Amino acid sequence: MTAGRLERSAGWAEHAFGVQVESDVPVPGLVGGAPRTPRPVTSLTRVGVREIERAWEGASSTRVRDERHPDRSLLMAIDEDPERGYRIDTPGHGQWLVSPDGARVLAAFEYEPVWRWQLVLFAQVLPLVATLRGAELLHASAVAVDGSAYAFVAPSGTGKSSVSMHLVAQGAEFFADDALAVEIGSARVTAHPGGRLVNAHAHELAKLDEHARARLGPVIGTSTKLHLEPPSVRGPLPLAALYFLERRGHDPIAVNDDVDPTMFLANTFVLHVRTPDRMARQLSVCAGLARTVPTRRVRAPTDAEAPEVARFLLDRMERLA
Amino acid sequence: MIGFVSDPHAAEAPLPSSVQVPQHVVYRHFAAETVVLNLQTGKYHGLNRTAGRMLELLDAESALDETATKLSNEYRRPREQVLGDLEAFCRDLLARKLIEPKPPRA
Repeated sequence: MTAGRLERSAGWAEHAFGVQVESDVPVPGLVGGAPRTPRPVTSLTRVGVREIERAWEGASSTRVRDERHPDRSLLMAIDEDPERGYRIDTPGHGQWLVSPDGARVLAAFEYEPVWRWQLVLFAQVLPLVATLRGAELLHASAVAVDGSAYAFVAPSGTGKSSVSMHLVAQGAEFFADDALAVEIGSARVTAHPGGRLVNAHAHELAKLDEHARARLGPVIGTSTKLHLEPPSVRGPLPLAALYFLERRGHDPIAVNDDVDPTMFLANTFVLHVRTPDRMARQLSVCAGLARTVPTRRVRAPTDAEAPEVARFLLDRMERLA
Repeated sequence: MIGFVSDPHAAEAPLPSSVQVPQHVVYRHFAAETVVLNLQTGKYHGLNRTAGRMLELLDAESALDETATKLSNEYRRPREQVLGDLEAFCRDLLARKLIEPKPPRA
């Protein structure tokens, strides 16, 4: 299977975010093999836009998310209908219809290039499916070191993806970018790998030598960023630590354990699903994380380079492992 | 011992002898505080450690008298003082609709 070339086949069963996906087309970037979770399978079927429009006809929907480009053109819209589910419209990146229980996804996207619909699949569609299937997601990236997952949360724009990229370049394994599915067990928290897609600034990639660069996998597309498909771990791992990253001031990078519950609650994902069950589950998961997983606040100066922050974190992860 | 800022108007209403946490209210303990979520309003409330323990015991015991006795033993404080704090706390919880009077058994 070659990234960027879609072919009809008997079916693929792969996973991400703890969701096993069976599709009628190859989905590059999913993790091969069953995810070792009791969750049912979600089917993904590629259709034309008209089929999604027909399925949505007559919907009494609510727009739960509306994001625009600076010129006010639509970047993404998510509409919810209690009976039909969720329609995700991302002009230029596909249109998607997710059933209310997350069991079925209809997907309408341009054949090429693959990364354009992969972006939406891994950033929006599968996290929504996972949430509807009972998982809980954090707005976090994660890497794996010595058989454990390490997650880090940071506000958008503070360099979370760049730090994640440099962690992989420096020896960690890619685990998830921007959305991390977690399950609370009796004694530990389990994290599920996300889609294998890293979105990197070209200038960050340019800081890497050839060996480090190779750890990130091939470039599969270019937009305002470079889109890479890294190798990944094959299944869920225990979550060993959670770091809240922030950029402030000019003091050296420092760590403390001054973490309060609002930090967990403020960094959950798929905020547009606000059913009572989901909100109660979010609270339980956040409390479980706070009780079970070592959590630390990492403050880096505003001018700290991503490789430096990554090195600092990797040192801590290796000491914990 | 109280986890909320007291509502000055709440002191005038009579208190029920037993209370319960309604189904639409869930709470979970974090390291240093308890977060209470009203699923009907979507609002979160934070309780300090002591208030979290009060809520937990109220949920288990229902009767304010018994809860006050247990808290008094646990925290080694005079029962009358604990009962006063507990009643003030209950008034705040009632005002925020995080607890409700428990109906007597038929």
